[in-house]
Amino acid sequence: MTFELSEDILEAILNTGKEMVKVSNLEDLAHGDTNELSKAVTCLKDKGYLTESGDGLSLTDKGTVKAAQVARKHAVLTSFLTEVLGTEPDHASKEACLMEHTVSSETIERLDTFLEKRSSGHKTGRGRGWRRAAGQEKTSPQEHEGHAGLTKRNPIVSLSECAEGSLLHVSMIRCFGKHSRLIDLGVIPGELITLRRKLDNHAVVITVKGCDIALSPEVAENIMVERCNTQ
Amino acid sequence: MMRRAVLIGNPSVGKSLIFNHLTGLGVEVSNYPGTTVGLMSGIVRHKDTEFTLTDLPGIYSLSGRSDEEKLVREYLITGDADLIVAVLDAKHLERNLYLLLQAAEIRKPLVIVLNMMDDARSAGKIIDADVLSKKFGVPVIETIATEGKNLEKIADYVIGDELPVPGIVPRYDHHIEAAAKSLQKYHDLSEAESLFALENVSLSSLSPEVMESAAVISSEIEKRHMMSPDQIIGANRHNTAKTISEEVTTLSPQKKRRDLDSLLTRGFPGIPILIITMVGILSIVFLLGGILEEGIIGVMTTYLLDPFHALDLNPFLDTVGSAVILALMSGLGIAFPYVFLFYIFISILEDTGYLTRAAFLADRGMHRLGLHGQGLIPLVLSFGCTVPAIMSTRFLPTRRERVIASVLVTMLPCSARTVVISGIVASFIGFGAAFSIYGIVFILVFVLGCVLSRITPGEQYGMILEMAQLRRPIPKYVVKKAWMRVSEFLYIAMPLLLISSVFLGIFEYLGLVTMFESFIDPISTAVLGLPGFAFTALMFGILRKEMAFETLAIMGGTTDLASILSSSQLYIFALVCVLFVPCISTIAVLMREIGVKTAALITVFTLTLGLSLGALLHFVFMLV
Repeated sequence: MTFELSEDILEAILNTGKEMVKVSNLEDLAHGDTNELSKAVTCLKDKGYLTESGDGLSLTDKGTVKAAQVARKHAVLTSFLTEVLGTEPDHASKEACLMEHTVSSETIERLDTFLEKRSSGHKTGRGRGWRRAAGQEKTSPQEHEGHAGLTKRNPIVSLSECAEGSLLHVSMIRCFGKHSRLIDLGVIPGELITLRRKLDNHAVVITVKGCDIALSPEVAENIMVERCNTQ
Repeated sequence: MMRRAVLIGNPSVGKSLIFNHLTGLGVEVSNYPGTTVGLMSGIVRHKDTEFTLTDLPGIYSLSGRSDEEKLVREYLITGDADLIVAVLDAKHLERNLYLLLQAAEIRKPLVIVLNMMDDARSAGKIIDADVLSKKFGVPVIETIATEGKNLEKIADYVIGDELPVPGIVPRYDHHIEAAAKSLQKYHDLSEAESLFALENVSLSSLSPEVMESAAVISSEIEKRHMMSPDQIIGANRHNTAKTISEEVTTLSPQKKRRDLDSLLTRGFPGIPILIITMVGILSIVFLLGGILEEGIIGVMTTYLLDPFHALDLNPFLDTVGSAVILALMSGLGIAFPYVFLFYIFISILEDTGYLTRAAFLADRGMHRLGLHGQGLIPLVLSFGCTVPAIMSTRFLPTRRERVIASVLVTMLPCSARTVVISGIVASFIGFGAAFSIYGIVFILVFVLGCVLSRITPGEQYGMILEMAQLRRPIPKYVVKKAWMRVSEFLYIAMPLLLISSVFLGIFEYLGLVTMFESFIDPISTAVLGLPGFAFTALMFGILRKEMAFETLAIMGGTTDLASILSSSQLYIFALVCVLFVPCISTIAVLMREIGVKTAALITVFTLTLGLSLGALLHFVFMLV
C-alpha cells in the first residue's frame, strides 16, 4: 500500500506541472487517510525523491525520473486498454492506475512497440496522423512541460471530453458496427474534425469535411480523438 | 418505351426542388414494395418527349442498413433505371463525392448535377466542372435549383442520344482489390456487387453462398489490417473523394459571415428559442385551426347538410347521404385546418434548416422516451392533430423510433380531445379536474415511453444528424409541400372515413344503434358506470373525437350534460374518450406509416387501456 501510494504521490505531483504542491492537495490519493499519507511522504523524503519546504512538496531530480517512469506506464497502459481492447477511457485510466505499480518495465517497452507498430501499419493515415501530432508537440512545449519523452503523442480521449472549439484528429471509433453512418459522413480514423458545440449533456456538433454534424452523447463518447495543437 | 431517370444524392442537396421543378404537379407517391419508404415518381414532358423521373430518398451512402439505403441500393442495382441523375451540393463537394463514387461504380449511365453553385461561390469555392467531367467520364451540369437555373438542361440530357457510363476507378487497398477480383471471377459478380459483398451489405442479387465466401475473405482481411473491410473501403473512397475534390476546387478567401448558430444551438438562448417556436406554432395552429375547422363545418352544414335534409328524400337515402356528408366534413375538417397549417410551419422549419437544430437541442429530453431529438416534432404536432404528427414520424431514422413515436403520439391529447376535455370536464366539473385528465395522460405517456424504449425490438442508434444549412425558404415550395401532404392525407383517410360513416348511418337507420344501446347498457353501467347512450356516443367519437361530445348532447337531448350525468360519470366519459381508440383518420395513417399489424395492435392497446382505466376509476368512485 505504502509503495503504491508513494508512486501515486510522485505521479500526481508531476501531473500538476507545478513546482510546489501542498500536502493537503494529495489527500484524495490516500482516500483521506492523512496518517498513511504523511507516512508515505516521510518515506519518500528519506529516500531522496521529495524535498519539503514551507510552500509544500517538490520533486528532486531523482523523484522526477521516478515519477516520469510511473506516468509513462500509466499512459501506455491506458492507450493499450482504450485503443486495442476498446475499454471505456475512464475505466481504462482506473485500471491503469492499479496495473502501473506491478507491471515490469520490459512489458511496458513491448506494449509501446506494439502500439507504435500497430498505428503505423494502418492504411488510413493513422500513422501519419500521430507523427504529425508528435511533430507539433515540439512546437508547443507548454502543453507537456516536464512530460517530454513520456508519450510520443497527445493523450487519446473520447470526443465528449474535449472542449468546444478544439481541432481534433480522429484516432478510433469504438463499437464501430453501430455507427457505420459515421464513415458515410467522413468521420474515419485519420480525419481532422472541429468540435463546434458541446452541450452540458455532452451532445456535440462537429464539423467534418465542411459540414456540421450533430451527435448524441452516446455516439460522441465512442469517438476517440487526439488533440491537435493549433499554432 | 419511356426513358426512366432516377435522382440520387445526399439529403438536402436540392433533389426535391429539381424533381418538383421538372415534374410539375402530376406526382405520384407510392411505397416501394416491402418498405414504408415513400417513393415519388412523375412524368416529365420536355420538347414533345416524355420520360419518367423518380426521386429516391436522400442518403449518404449505398452501403448503409437503413430502409432508405437498402431501397436506393436495390433500385440502382436491380431496377430498370436508364439513367442515374446524381445531384451534388457544390459547397460540400468532397462529402458528396463519396456517394457519387459509389454510384459510378455501378456502371450505369450517369450524369452529374452540380447544384447550389451560388452557395459554393459565395463560400469562396470555384469548381472546375470540365475537370470533374473528365475525371468521371460523364457530363456535368451546373445548376442553381432555387432559381430554376439550368434545370432544363437536365431534361435535355435525359432525352438526348448519348448516355455515357462513368469510367472512374477508385483505388482500393490491394487486399480489397484482390478479394473483389476473386469474388467477381468465382461468383460472376459485377464490381459493385463484389464490394457490397465484402462490406457485408445485403442485396437481393447476392446469394447466401456469395455472402458466406465474402465473409470468410473479409475476416482474413480484418485480421491483417485490424480494421473491417467496410471501414477500409470507406476510408479509401474518402481518400479518392478528397483527391478529386482538391483537384477540381479552387479556394478563394471568403468573408466571414454572421453565425446564427451561436444563438440557435447553444443551451442558452437556444432552448428558450426552441420552446417559444414550438409553443408559438402550436398555439397559432390551435387557434387558427379551431376557427377554420368551425368555419368549414359551419359552411358545410349550412350549404350541404341542411339543404340535403331539406330535399326530404326517403329516410334510407337521407341517412346514407348525410353519413357521406358527415365523413366529408370530418375529413376536410382535419385536412385543411390542421394538416395543411401544420405542414406549412413544418415545411418552413425544415426548409430554413431550423428543424435539425431543434432536434439537436431536444435530444436529451427525448432520450428517456426511447427517442432521439428528431422525435420532438411528432410529439409537438400531436397536441394539434394526431394525423400530421404520425405522418411526420417519417423523419425518424429507425422503425423502432417510428413505432414508439406513433404509440405516444396516438395517446397524447390532440386539439379535438382538448375540446372534449374542456367542453365536458372543464365546463361541468372544473379546471382542476380537466388538468387532472391531462396529468393522467402525461404520466401514462411517460411510463409507456420508458417501457416501450425497453421492449420495442430493433437496435437503438444514437443520433447522427447533419445540420442543414440555414437558408431562406421559398414560399412556393413550402405551400406545395404542405399541399401534397393534405392530398396524401385525404387520399388515405377519406375511403375509411366514408365507409365507417356510412355503416354507422345504416346501423342507425336499421335501428341497430338502439339495439346496441340496450345490449351495451347493462355492461356499460356495470363496468364504466355509464348509461348505454353515453357509450354509443363514445363509439361515434371514432369518426371525429369531438363527435363523442356532440353525440352525447344529442342523445341525451340536452346541452346541460350535468343534468343527465353525474360528475364522476362525466369524468369517466371524458377520460375514456381521450384514451380509447384513435379516430378513423389516425388509424388510416397509422396503417400506412407503420403497417396494418402494428396499427391494429395500437388500436387494441388504446381501447383496452381506455376501458380498463375507466373501469378502474368507476370502481374507485364507487368505493369513495
